[in-house]
Amino acid sequence: MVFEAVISSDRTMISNHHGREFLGFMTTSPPIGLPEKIWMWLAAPKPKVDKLGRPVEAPYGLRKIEAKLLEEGFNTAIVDPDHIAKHLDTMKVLLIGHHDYFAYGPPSNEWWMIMGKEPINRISFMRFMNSTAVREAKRRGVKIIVGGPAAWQWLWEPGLWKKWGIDTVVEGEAELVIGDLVEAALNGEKLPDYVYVGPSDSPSIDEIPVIKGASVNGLVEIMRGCPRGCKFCSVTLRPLRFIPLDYIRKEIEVNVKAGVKNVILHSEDVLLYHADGVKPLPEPILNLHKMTAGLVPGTLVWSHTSLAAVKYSEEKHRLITRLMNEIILTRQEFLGVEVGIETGSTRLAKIIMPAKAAPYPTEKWPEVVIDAFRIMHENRIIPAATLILGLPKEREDDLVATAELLDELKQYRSLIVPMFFVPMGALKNMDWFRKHRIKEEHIKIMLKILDHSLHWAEDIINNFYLKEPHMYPVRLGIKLLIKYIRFKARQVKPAIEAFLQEREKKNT
Amino acid sequence: MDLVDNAIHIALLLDEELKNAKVLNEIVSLVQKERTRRIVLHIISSSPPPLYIEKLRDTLVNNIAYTIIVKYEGANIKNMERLSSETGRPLYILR
Repeated sequence: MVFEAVISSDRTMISNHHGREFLGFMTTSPPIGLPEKIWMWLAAPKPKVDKLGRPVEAPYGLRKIEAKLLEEGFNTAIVDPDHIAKHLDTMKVLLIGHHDYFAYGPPSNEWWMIMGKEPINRISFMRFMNSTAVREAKRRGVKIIVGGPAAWQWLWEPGLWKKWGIDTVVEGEAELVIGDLVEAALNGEKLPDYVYVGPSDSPSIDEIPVIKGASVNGLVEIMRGCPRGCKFCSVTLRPLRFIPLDYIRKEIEVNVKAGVKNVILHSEDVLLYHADGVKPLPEPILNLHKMTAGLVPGTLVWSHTSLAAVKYSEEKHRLITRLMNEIILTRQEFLGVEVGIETGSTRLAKIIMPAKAAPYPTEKWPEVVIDAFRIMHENRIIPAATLILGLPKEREDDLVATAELLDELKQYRSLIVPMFFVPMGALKNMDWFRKHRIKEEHIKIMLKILDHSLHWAEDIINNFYLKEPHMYPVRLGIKLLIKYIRFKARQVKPAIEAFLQEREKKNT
Repeated sequence: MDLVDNAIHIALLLDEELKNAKVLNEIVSLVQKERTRRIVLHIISSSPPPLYIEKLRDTLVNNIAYTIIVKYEGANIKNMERLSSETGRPLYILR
């Protein structure tokens, strides 16, 4: 088979992370206490591929691009990075997507700042771009188009953009432009350097193609866009679209047919599927889950939900309890999901995320967070929660409020990940940020988060995660890693505390 | 590209110190006048692609509302005449 347009990325993207999406987050960190090769095996093992190097599972975003190009009649395929050389004779265009090309996004930049070492996703992407196959492709005149959620990062790397001969950077939803770009590339026409697809050129439901091959861990999109309007998030700029059930069904069937047993329902807020504004409605959520459970033999995961939707849907409709008892817990022991706490300060919440607590008033944000965590704990939902430090206009009393909220959350099973708000101009010098922008209060909060997450990580790995016999080596690796981080934390904590005390004395 | 067909075409002379906020404001008033949400920015700059992006970055980052297609047209200001005939549409010039 001849592929003129090859779609690919580096190993941290082209992997199914042992069937556990959460392990993929390890690619956002530098290796901790382990050789890089073992870290990569734990976080991003090589996937199964066919003889042409096409992975069985591939990132959902790349699958969408592949589907759109196939529907427009192009000869295209997603190819594993180790197999690109097989297609050098036919390839005319190389399309690359990534979540975090240069590790400037969260949480990679946090690990980079905290540990002072480049995260593995950045190293892996650089290695991919410098590989013999990619360099040879460029030498032969292959056009390179890059895109995906991290496309913005190229604006800060014009040097590498030039060095690697990137022809076009595409930012935004690409369905309506990718065919034209590939066509122009195949015809030898000059390509634009940069394309930003604005919200008014986002595709309608009819223009979004059904994936043609399996997505990593069975991820399928149920919504695009988000109505909450948080200032730190770009998704909110996009029009809100609900993917119809029959369309979701088709994508799940593609995955099941390829042997993917599990499903990840992807949305910025799963509970808002066909909601009444920001108020979840039971019927569409139950129907979605009943349909999904009837199609997949394995487990069901949510990508994201909001804490306000968890609280509202439970208090108004007992929806969480019903969903978990009637559908999800009949087939699995827990449900994983990402949620955003972001801050414990109502003052800051009003500035940066005025609708995050809706339909509750922003003044009740800490209460919304605590109640949602309690509801999730009682219903065996395990959240991985983000918290943003260093936001513009952040004051000391905001950080105190966040620390107090963390104390309230101690009792609830969850992982919490700190993220730093990074002004882009500072991105090129992570070391500068690490040394000059982190305040004492940030360090105190990070220590609290470390204690919290290590405590619950041990509980989760002992009682919930990776329990299948074939996952034993991965489970052992993760357990050893947790022990190592605990050991290192114990080693450095007295020094950090002494440093903080010293600074406090100086300030008084 | 279909998006180009319905866009407003703007030639941007990038060699002098660019006031990004001013450029974005001017772009916004032009698109409002032309009632479109698509812009093709034709870049005239002595900095080769993609290095000119450094000067244009703030404008691009601060835009969230419009589709923007950026094309490099060379260093010579005379290229604007060619551009004007090629696009077949009014060419606005910003500097």
